[in-house]
Amino acid sequence: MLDWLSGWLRNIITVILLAAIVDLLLPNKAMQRYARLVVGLIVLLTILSPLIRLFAGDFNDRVEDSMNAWERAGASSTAQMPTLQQISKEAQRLSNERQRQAASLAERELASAMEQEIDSRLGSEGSVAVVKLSEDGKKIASVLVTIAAAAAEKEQSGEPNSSSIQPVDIAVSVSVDEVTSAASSDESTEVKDEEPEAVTAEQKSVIEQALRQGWGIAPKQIQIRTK
Amino acid sequence: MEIIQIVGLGLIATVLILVVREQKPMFAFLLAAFTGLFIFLYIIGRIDTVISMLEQLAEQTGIPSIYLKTILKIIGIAYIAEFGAQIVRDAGQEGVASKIEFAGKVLILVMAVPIIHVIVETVLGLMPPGG
Repeated sequence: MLDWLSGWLRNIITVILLAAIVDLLLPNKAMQRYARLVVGLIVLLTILSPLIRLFAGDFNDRVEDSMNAWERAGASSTAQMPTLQQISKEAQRLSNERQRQAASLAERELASAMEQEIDSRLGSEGSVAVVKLSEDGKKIASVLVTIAAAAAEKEQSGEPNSSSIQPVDIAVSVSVDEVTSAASSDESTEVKDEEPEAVTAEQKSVIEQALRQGWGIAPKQIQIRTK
Repeated sequence: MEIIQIVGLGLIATVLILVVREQKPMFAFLLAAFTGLFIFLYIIGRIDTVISMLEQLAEQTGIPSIYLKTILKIIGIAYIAEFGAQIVRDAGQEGVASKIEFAGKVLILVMAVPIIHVIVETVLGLMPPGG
């Protein structure tokens, strides 16, 4: 009992001492009035602490919790002005996004047009073209054409219009490097080596001709394969 | 004898400001602001001693650390607001200075919100239910 009483008194004395020192440290009279109110509340809380502990349990944790919560709320609601760098970075990101969307739309449109052209020239159906644009989106980097295998056979047997023709996918992939065309041709020849055997030279020439006439794509940039 | 250095710096700055003010009031203000800033930063480290003493006191007697944190925050807010307000006041912008002081007061009062919350809750808890 005496221990508890002395601890309580010690707390009160310390807090009052702190309050006196704060009063000394404060810079001017105007602030003192407000600071005194807060310090007075702390003194009151200390004096009431046995009573509060009796009725409301441990209150220190709750004071600390609400203080921290308030700090977090204050920090999150702080109005921040974006810096110029942030703004320009955001603008860059947005314009990149827009360019990417435009490029993918162009790729899709080109691919569907090529598919139609190839289908009509080969007399088959279901060929799939995948177009890749170069980095700046101004040139066609590569075309991958996939024709259905059955259609390829029909073509070989000279009956392109028969109804039992299955779709043939031709994959034409051409990588175009704007600066070094030699390097790109090397790459594309490597790619060509991987082509499946099923594509005949005739089909290949038809497709390459179609793409060259329609879109000015060099044969190097075209990759053809069957499904 | 740091006080001699600081007073000397202040006196020299004052003389220079008086000389410059006739020709270039702008530079006089800058000089005053810089002098104030320098003295403030020079002496703010000395408060460290007082604060560490307070911390020791709080630790020995075992009062909750949240009290000390709150009190130190009050002191900090008061000093920073006062300092900023005085620089602005030197430049002749009394209105802006009083707004800075107002912000400092509000922030100090906000420190009391959690404490008031606990006190009010306790007092309400003391009331008999339905009474």
